Amino acid sequence: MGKEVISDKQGIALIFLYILDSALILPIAAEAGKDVWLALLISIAATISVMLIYVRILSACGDKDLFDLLHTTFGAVFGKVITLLLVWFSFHLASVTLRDFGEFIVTVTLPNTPKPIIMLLPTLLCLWFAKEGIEVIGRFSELWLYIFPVMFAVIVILLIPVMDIRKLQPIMENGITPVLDGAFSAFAFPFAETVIFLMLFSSLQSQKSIAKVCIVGLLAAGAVMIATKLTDMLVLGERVYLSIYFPSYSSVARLKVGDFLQRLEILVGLVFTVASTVKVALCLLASCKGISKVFGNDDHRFIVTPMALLMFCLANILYENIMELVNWTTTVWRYYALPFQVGIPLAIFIGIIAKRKPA
Amino acid sequence: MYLPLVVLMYLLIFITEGLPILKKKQKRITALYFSLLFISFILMSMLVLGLKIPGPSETIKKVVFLILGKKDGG
Repeated sequence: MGKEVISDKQGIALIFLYILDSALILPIAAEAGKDVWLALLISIAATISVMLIYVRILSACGDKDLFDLLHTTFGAVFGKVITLLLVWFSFHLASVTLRDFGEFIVTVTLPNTPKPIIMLLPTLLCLWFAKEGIEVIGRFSELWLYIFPVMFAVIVILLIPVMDIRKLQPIMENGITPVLDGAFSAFAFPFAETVIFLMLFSSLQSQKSIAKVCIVGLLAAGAVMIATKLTDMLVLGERVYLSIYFPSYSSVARLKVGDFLQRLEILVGLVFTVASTVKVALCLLASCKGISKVFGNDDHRFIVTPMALLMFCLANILYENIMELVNWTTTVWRYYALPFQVGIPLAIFIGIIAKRKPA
Repeated sequence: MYLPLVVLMYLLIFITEGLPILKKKQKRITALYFSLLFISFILMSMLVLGLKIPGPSETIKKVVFLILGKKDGG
């Protein structure tokens, strides 16, 4: 199997869509209330520092991938243990994202359709994506890199008449603590979820541009995220923002230009569908690559079908309902994800330095 | 009602993917592939039969809250 290669632009597009995904429609950093934009700024700054660790690890990989690096740095057994932990995280994240997608569609558009049927179609698409590899996912993402920002800009501009700046005031009414709490929340979901790219970015065409791709992708997604959440807050206000499951969908639903331009919330659905597909496919691909490496195989494609079917089953049994999903995501995810997003990369980083240090 | 469809789907997967893997005669890959496929088949059958399968979310929540010393409020 030949080495897959993606361009810098495709890499940026992958990070951009990956970060936007569920975070675009779910009320992220809700703890910060109307200071959500401030919380997002802090979390982006924190993510850049963590991302520099990811970049350092990826640079240390050279021509090999992360799993080879883990093998040479930590030995066969411990290297495989770390690989399996990362595989579990990406596999679990794929299931969580798939479930988010199912809940969104059932809640806003198809309430009478069984959730498994709604989740089965993206599962099949992601199965195909993961089999084809990161090149195909990269090309697909690149297509949307220009369409989405334009779409966001048009929506935000059209929503200006229904915005009210007073809904953001006073800034930091309850002090800095809720803002930092919100920043931590936004750091864990979605920004630091980019840890998955440690397993995928050995495919980048130029290893010299890893830092540029990661930081530009993060900043682009961060900018769109801040613009979206700021718009939600200006249109809906804090009380409504915190009381509904999909604030972006509801804020765009208020857009009406005369009698001819309305029901544009379908665009939010479109963005979410595309971004979710990309995210699930990337997580599935990462977990398949990891598990096939653990079993001594460089070609991940043979294991994609069983993994995709397992992901589908896990997505179905994760939560009882949307209330449990939101509760789990807001109270558990950030603590659960932190060891995978910061702990393991930090351990790998220290391992690389220790290995390079002459005895 | 959906169980025959699930069985048919897995049969198709076995014919199109499973048999070529069996022919390769690589023990580790074959074992991994068929064990994962078997687990997914069991889970999928339980899902379509409407049986309740415990998910990992509650266990993860308990472990996280135990480590943090937090009380489960919901």
